[in-house]
Amino acid sequence: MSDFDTLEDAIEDVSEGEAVLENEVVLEEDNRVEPEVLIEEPEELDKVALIGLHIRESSMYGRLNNAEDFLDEPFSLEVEEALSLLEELKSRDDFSDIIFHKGKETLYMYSDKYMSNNYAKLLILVEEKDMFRMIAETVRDESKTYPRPTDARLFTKAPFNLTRSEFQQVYEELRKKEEYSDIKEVRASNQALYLFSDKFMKEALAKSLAEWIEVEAEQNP
Amino acid sequence: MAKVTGWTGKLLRVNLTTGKITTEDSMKYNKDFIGGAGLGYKVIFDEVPQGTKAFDEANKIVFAVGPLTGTTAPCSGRTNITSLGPTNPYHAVTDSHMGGNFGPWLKFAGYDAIIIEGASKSPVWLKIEDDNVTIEDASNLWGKGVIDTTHEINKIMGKEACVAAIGPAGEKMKNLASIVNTVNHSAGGHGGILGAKKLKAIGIKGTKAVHIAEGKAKDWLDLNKYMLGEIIGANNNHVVPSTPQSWAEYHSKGSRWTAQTALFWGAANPPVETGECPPGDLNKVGLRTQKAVFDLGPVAEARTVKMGGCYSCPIRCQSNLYVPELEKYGLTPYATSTCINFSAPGTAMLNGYSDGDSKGEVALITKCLGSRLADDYGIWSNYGQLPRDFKYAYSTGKLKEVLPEEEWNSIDWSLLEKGDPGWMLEFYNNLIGDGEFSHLLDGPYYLDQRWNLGEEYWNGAGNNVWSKMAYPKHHSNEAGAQVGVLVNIMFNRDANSHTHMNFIGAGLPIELLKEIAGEVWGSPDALDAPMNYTPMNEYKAKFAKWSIDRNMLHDSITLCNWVWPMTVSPSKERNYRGDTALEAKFYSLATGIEMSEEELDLQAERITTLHRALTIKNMNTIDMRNEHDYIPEWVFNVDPDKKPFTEGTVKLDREDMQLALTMLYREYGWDEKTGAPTRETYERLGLKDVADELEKLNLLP
Repeated sequence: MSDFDTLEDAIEDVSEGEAVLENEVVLEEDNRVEPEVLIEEPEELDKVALIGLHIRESSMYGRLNNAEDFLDEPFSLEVEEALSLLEELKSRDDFSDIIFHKGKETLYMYSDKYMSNNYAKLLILVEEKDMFRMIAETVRDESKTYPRPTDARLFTKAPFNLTRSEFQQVYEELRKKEEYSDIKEVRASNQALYLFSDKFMKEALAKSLAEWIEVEAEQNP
Repeated sequence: MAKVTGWTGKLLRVNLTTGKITTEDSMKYNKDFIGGAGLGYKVIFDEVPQGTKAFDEANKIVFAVGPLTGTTAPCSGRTNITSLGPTNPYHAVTDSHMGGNFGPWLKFAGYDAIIIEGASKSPVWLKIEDDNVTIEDASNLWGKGVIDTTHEINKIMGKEACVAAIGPAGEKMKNLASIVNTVNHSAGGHGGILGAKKLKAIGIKGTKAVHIAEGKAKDWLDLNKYMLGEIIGANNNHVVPSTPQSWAEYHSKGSRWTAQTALFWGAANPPVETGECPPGDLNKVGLRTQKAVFDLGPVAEARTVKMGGCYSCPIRCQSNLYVPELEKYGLTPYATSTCINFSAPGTAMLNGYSDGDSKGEVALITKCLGSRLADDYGIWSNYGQLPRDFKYAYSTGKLKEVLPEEEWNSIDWSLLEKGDPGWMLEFYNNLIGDGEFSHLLDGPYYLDQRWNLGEEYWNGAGNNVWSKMAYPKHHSNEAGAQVGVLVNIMFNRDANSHTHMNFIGAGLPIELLKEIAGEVWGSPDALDAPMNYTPMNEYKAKFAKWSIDRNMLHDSITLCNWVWPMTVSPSKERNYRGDTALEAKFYSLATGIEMSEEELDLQAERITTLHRALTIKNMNTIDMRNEHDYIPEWVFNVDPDKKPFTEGTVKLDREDMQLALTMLYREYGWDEKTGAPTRETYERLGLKDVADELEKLNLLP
């Protein structure tokens, strides 16, 4: 253990000495990693704060919360109380990181301190269990934002977790639906399937980008 | 006189003709040229006569590092080697670069550089133990591979010594020969020069400290923590993970930030889970790049013992693998390599793999076997061009035409046809043999002279040869359009410049990247969306110049250009902005010389201009535009059914590229007609002596 109380003390002492190698002592001290305090709990917590902290903890582990979560243990709230507490949570300055999103049938919550908005958007699409919309919105977003066509294998991985046959089934159905007619496909030369939205990307661009991502990037590392 | 910090202030000069070993003040170079490549160019410019060829006794080879080598600056473990390039049609100056430990060990022994000159009559190796430097007999090492040579020298010097050696390819003065330290960190292109000088290896052991400026220890630590906590990404400074992760706004399949939940170093005992590695957690930076899986596919996970890498580098990009199948081929069951050293052997498998899976077990065994053989034999893949040359010669029938029948029949082609890993032994053994096949190691220019490969070889889009200068493309028109092409024309080998590609490939959305481009190079127009290019503009020229100069800076200071510069960061709180002044901050703290970002960039520009001057001297012409900065036909002919500046093509326009050259020359203050620096520019950069020398040679515009 170091004899110094603080890192500053250690450095001050070292800088005054002549025979000590600066970096050795300081690095040893500095390499200790302080455990990150993710949630600072006050001594007494009200119910609203407990809900807020629970949402933060869920977000840290990559999970969304919905309003129904608080009807179960450990909260076991009645519906009206839950809604009232959540309403109060929205107005609390000390929980301004809690984001509320109204879904089709429930209210979703997450902390944007621990979960990115884009990831939360993906989770909501998954939670809503509208597989067509989940695929289409993801593809549209990637075509517009990066821009890039979407590797179809993305939907077999977290957080989507479709099996290959599930994806194939959903995708075949999606292709027949008018509202998703902008979702098109291209294949790289190794036959890998990529999807794009022609609202945001032309086929020629999608095809060349798919070839780059799938084949050429590996040949030009 | 103030104490020198950062640098050691001393270089070692070894004359192999006379056996004389001397030391000199290195600060006469470091003050203006930083170290590394800058130091190497100045030595070669001043001391190697015009007209010298790479394997001539009059050529010199300079191993040099900079003021950050041997400190704890992140990613500072690389070594720069400068000499005339044997693959270049004019034997113009080139650099080769190796990671590992050699550079830091050189500093610990007390030297910023080693200048090797002359040539020994018999095989020797150089033994460096602090101030004790001796030339040792290497007759018992000549003929051995890199691995056995390293092992033998380590037996003499102790396992703590770092050994850089050549293999049979270097001994035989093959153009595509490498120098390899620690048996797996290779520098491509100068192995044959050591062979010509009969220098088999250099072993270094040092016990000295590399000092930073007095009283700056806390500032140094704070800067390190800031960089590791907020700025650095993964390999190639990719700043988003490869999969969607809860902390990340963005993800990209092509990102080398492969760490994720349930991904392991599977052969570690116990296995180590990379997990998610969000920014801010300093102790997880080293887990971000699970490169084995990136390079070799999911089958590599279970075989990954750990991710290794260079001295003082938190980005562990060197995969250490357990592959017991290698024992069947007479090797140890361990493989370690990265990037092109894995992919190049795969390119030589023209019929694919016996299991039909390019990311399967057979591919992994093949690539591990090939990479080990290449390192042991000291063969340089020429950034993957060597197997492409083999592919071209084989598939066009040229190889069968040029190989004597007896030699052709002696090769077991069935291994190639079956996709058997054993093809690697055939391929590499024949490359270091004495037959016609071995001329594949001549490199494109000299191979074409010998085998007459034809127009299609030079102009075909898939072959990637950069004519006339005969090196492969390296992040060219597919990497920022004109910017990538301008970066590719500036060197005398493939452009080992990743500054532009790291930024373009960082994984962030285009609008964010364009915003950052606007802040760094003056306008968002400096960057086009991928495969959706616009005509040339002055901001692209600024982006290209900055990319080249930062590459020169990194090769001189010495930092790894496969991660640096920190143009972007993974931090959402910083809105993904990096810190382009970090090199200057580390330089100032190491050397005690206060240096702003702009001042250091000017030093880098001086080094780029010196490189240009040296190329002009080597080529004996000032007409760089037509004789050196030539752009291959495939840049303009690719995608025959598409027009330049339409979506989905990397095709460029001839007139636009000539404008691009003019704009780049303008940024540097070079003569716009020839692309040669003017006297005024040389003098602005403190290179009056260079201008005077070139004037004597009638090489000023």
